[in-house]
Amino acid sequence: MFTRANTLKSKLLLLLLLLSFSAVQRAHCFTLSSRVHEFNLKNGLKIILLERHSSPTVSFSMCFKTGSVDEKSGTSGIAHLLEHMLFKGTKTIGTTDYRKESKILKKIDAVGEALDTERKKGKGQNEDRILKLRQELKQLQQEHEKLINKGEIDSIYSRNGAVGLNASTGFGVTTYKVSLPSNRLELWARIESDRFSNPVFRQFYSERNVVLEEHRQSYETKPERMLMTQLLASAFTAHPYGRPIIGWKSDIQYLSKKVTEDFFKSRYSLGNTVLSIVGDIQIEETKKVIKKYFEGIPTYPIQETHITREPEQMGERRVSVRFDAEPKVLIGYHKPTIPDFDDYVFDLIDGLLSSGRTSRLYRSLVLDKKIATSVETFNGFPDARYPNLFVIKVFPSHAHSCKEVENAVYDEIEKLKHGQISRKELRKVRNQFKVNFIRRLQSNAGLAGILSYYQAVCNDWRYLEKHLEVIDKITRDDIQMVAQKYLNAKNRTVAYLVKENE
Amino acid sequence: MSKKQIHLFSILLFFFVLNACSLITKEKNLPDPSSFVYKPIRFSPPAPERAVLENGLILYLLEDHELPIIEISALIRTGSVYEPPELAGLASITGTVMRTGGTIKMSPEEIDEKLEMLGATVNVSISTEEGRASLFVLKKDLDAGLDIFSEILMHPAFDPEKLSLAKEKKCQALRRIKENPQSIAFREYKKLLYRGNPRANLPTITSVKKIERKDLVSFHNNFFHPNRTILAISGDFSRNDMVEKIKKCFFDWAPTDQKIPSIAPPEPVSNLETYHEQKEISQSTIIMGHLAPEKSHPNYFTFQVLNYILGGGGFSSRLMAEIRLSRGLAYSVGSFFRGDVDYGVFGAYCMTKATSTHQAISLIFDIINNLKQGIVSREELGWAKESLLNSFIFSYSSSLQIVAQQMALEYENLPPDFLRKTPEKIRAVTLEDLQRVAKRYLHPTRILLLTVGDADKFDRPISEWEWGPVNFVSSDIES
Repeated sequence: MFTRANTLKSKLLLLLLLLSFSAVQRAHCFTLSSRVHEFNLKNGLKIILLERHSSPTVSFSMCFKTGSVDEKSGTSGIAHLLEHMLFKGTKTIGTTDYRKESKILKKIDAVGEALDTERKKGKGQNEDRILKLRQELKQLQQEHEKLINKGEIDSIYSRNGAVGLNASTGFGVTTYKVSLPSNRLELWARIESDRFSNPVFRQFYSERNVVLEEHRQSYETKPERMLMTQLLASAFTAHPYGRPIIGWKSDIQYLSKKVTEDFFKSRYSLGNTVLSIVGDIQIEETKKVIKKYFEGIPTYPIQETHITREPEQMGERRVSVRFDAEPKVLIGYHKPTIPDFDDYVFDLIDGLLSSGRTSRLYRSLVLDKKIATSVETFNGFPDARYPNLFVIKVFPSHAHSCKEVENAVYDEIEKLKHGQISRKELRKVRNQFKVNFIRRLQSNAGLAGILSYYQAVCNDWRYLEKHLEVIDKITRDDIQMVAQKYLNAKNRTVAYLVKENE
Repeated sequence: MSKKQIHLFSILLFFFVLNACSLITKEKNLPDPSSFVYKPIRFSPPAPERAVLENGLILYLLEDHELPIIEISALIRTGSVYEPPELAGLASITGTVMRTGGTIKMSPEEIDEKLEMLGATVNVSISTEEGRASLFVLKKDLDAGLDIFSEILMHPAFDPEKLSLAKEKKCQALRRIKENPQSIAFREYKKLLYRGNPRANLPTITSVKKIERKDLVSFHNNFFHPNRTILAISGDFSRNDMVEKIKKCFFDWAPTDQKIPSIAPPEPVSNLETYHEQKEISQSTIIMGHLAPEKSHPNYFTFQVLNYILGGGGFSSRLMAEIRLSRGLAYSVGSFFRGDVDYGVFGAYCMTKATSTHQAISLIFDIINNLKQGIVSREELGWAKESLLNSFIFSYSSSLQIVAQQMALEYENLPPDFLRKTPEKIRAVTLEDLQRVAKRYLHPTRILLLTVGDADKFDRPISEWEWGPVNFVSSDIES
């Protein structure tokens, strides 16, 4: 199924990737350090290039260090809506005559804003006025359609053989991706440099409705997503991780074009951005093209938004969602983020607990006790820019309760804190990190995404290579100390999905 | 910068000035995206080598020494179409327990321990019309990986405990279908489109519970034979070594002389048929479609272009441009077309709020009708063809992909140059072809329409729909 601009879905995929992915084997012939080429433009844009000539294609990933955490209260969802709007074209793409178009756009904005103002009144709203404004808006939109080339960014790209044109909004970063035949490098630079310096937010009000449909499709009708949303809202009472990326519905329906533009102007500075290109490129030629198109884009200092820190959790929190669905359990523990040492330890814990059929939780809950059909754990949920959660997700077997599987999880956590951890078990998890690293090198698009992501989040993509060195140094004592420090009742949030009639 | 300076240091400055001029700061300096001229891409994808062992096992091999890994992908002639209807689910569970249930030589635990210690993976799965198996292993662990992989294909032990776990998981997965409107819709749609055909036999909790170990044993015995299996192997190996290793591993796998029965293609519907499954949710899932040309059909590629224009070609396709971009009625909307060996499936889908369900269906019908009447511009056809042609290079992105798709062609009895000839076939599609094929193979009056959603909230009462009468269905996950 074709989807574009998935929020959480892409985010989760990235997260999974992040989790299953890890370090490089330094001794191995394919070290990234020896092949990556880095440089900066004067305006602050950071560029990472990697030549790989196995096929005449090239993958691009542009990662902006901004996301839903940077939104102000009442405008939740703006980072994601902006990501959608950045597919709408520029002053030279998507229009037949921008001068004429901009006049109608002004009228549309005025009517749209008046309509929102009236709708916000709620019960006291003037129905006649709303109807009149709706008709007026519709007429203007029809007039506007005659002056635009709908989805032209997409049609230029597809005509040129692009695959994987997409973007994902996360809590901490927003990423724009595409892969092209390698002779299309300059076309890419032409489109992207224009798109991130002269975007036109046309078809704003219909796109806002698209996002509401996305909300229905991905949140309102999906019990597991509801449960995730509730886990985060309960675990983060002050920090913006408590708000869904897509936004609260009552915010989305009133997001204004003005606020969207402001968010773009204040957060999308190239000084806040990492671009990575992996594939069939020549370094010098690529540098020249990037300079030609991106160096002239003015930069501005990013005003660091003050992000509320989540206060220490002082006791267990429990939340439930009632829905016509099979039961599920989520347990989340607060913990620090990368590059804190304890986060590396959690990567190991993650592997010990749930990676594969021989992992501790799978063996205990699924194979031995037969009370669950699947167990997963996630380190660094929902995002890595700020202190986050270690999450355990369990699907109970039929006729077994949430409580039963929850207690079985705690038994395993106690064993982790105080029991044996064999050398062999540790070696297994470390080996898996090494192999997974190599696996992730296979695809240009995957590699471009990972490089830009770690550069944006850790300010150094070499985190990828250093990861294994740290993992190799972690001792059994470290694991037990970290488990004892964080995996406690006081620090956890538990979310149950329960059947409506129970 | 003065003219004099330029004159004095002409060579050096020429370089700088040129750079400065070509530095783009204003949108008015930007070149028209359609004005770029591209150097042609010269690329001849590596050709996999084909080999056949004495017992009939077919190999496709492609060396790739960039990374120290080896991957095998296998296709086995089987599928759920061959399971007895009362045991629906048997094929997929056989695949699962081949992987999890141990082999004659090794217990399930030994296999998992070994593979996970090496970071290797083995998977087996059986879907409607094919069986698949795969191995991923580091080069240094090839022997250990191959040993387990081959034993699993030839001598699975089907441990009873692992069978009950697989059944429990399958039942849970079936119950979870109800949580996802799109899963419900596609399951129901499959049942309706393939009715009267083995492809419509879908597992239920009752059928899964009936499955016993002996059923798995005989399903495996019936379908897993070397002369019905193809392996695609890519990675860091040398061709001769690999063939020797495979020969050794699969040496005692005996071929069968039985022919695999063929399954009749599904029958097309002869009218507009409308179905609804009631679920009290805020968004409706709409699927509407019918059978379409198969892969070897002379009009297969034209239909592919047609589908691209209608709804397969992303944001610029008609369904997306109208229903999402202009009207904001959906986040997911589009069409799909999949050509199989002896039939194809085409359909349009849309998820829209309950209160715009009727409107969205009307729009989809209008857009299909428009295309059927042949309203296509040369420009639109040009865009679709260029898109398909220029992205074709991505069919050769990795060695595994190259070798696996060559294997798939043989599995589907298509000529080995089918893929290589695809660009010329697409290039040859004319506006007249498109109009002829649209007229002949799009059937808005012989279409199967299914909605899943809350009929009480629809924008027009379902009883008044012009596509009626509406048949009400409900997912029979239980029995």
